[in-house]
Amino acid sequence: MSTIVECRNLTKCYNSRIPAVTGINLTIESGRIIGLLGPNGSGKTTIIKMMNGLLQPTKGEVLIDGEEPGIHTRSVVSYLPERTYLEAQKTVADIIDFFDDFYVDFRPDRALQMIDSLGIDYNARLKTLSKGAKEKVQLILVMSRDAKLYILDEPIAGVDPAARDYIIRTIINNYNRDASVLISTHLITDIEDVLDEVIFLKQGHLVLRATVDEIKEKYGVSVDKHFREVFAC
Amino acid sequence: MLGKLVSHEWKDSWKIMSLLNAAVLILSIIGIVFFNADNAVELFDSSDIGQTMGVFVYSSYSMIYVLSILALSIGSTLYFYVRFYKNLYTDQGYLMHTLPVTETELIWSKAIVAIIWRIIGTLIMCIGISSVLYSFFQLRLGWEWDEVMDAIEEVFEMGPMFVAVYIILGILIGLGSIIFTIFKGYAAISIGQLASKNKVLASVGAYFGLHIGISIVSNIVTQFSMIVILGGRKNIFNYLDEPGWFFAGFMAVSAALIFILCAVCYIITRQIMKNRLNLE
Repeated sequence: MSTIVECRNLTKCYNSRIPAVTGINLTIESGRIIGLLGPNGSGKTTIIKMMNGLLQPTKGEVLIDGEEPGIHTRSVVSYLPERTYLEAQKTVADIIDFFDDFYVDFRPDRALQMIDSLGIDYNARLKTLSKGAKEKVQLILVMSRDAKLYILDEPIAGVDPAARDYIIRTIINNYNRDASVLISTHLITDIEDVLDEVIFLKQGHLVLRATVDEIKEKYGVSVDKHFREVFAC
Repeated sequence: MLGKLVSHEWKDSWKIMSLLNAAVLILSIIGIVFFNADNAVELFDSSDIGQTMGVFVYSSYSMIYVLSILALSIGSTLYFYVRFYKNLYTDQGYLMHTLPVTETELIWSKAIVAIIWRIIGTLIMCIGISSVLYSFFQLRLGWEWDEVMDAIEEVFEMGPMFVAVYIILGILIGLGSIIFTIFKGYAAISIGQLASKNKVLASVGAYFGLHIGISIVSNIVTQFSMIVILGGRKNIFNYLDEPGWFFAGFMAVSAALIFILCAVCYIITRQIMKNRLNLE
């Protein structure tokens, strides 16, 4: 197994100078599904944005596939942000063409198959789709790449349980088996079964890194239960 | 990748830009046809009602035409500023900045399309306005095409070299101004992103700040260059025997200054996007 992500003393302070993320040291090996878990404001999205080069670290560095965020890392990372990033005026077909043009690892046939299975009109403009359908289209695009690393930021937040099942199925059935999947969420019960490892973040600090089996063995409870204990108010 | 980015940017912007350009083009053609109509003068000068109607038609047409010109010149610039901001610094930036392309390619893809449309718009405006004005003056003042040609010949009598220099410098200044307008906006929008809150307001403030700063620098450089161009001569009146070359020198300095300012604005934009990007 090779290292796909390496964070060294990764720190991010916003303007208030209160650190959102402090001194994160972390490596992620390829071929793993990892849950980046923590309550709101724990720094999950900040770390993910730094991995994607959308935020600049205040201190430390993050390396993806051995390089700082740049052209190479963008070509191997498939990223699903926690918001809709597609132009509302574009059609589903336009977006698929767009991804096909820029990502050499994009598989349009796979995307089309999934779009068809959802019954979404290929020529529909995104603005005409429901919020849930838009999120599914975005996920389909991200999961139709044969990336080395999938970074999914809150993929199941704000959707109904049926949609959650669909999203988790889509992730599990489509990710490149040699790749790693980093899933950020606070809805642990829904994804616990698919995770190999978990990372707990609390107020910008890494407080736990363990495999799901280790947690079950050591604490005798599920990840969700342990999460509730660690983050009890 | 730059070609692909340009192609997608073109695809996303051609409809609205074609519409704006077509509006000016159609209004220009209407004006030219109208002012060239054989019986327009007779109709408007024949009676009091005709004159009133003429004033109404002329003023209405002028107002609509000026508005279409404003929509094309200011509207298209604002449209490309907004596209740049929305595509690269709002939610859409999450996609654009995770494409396997460089910041340089992102900026130039936007700039190339904006510059092409601004050039097309400027040509349409220049040709349209001059044709409409010529048609109007021909109608009201009896201008003839021969008189225009005579005026052009007079210019050429100053010497082909002189004319060539003026044309080249004129094109350079025109092109430089278009590029500068685009990059000045991009730089202001990028500077605005450094603010922690109210980034759009900060961008507007940065635009006016840049405008004032650049005006001051331009004035200083222009004044200084005039002194240099004048050289050992005591004053500008020593150039009265060859004023054309004095202004050619002045234009050359202006052209160089515009392209330097373009480069400065581009560097500001690129540095912020590369090293200070913080999509929140």
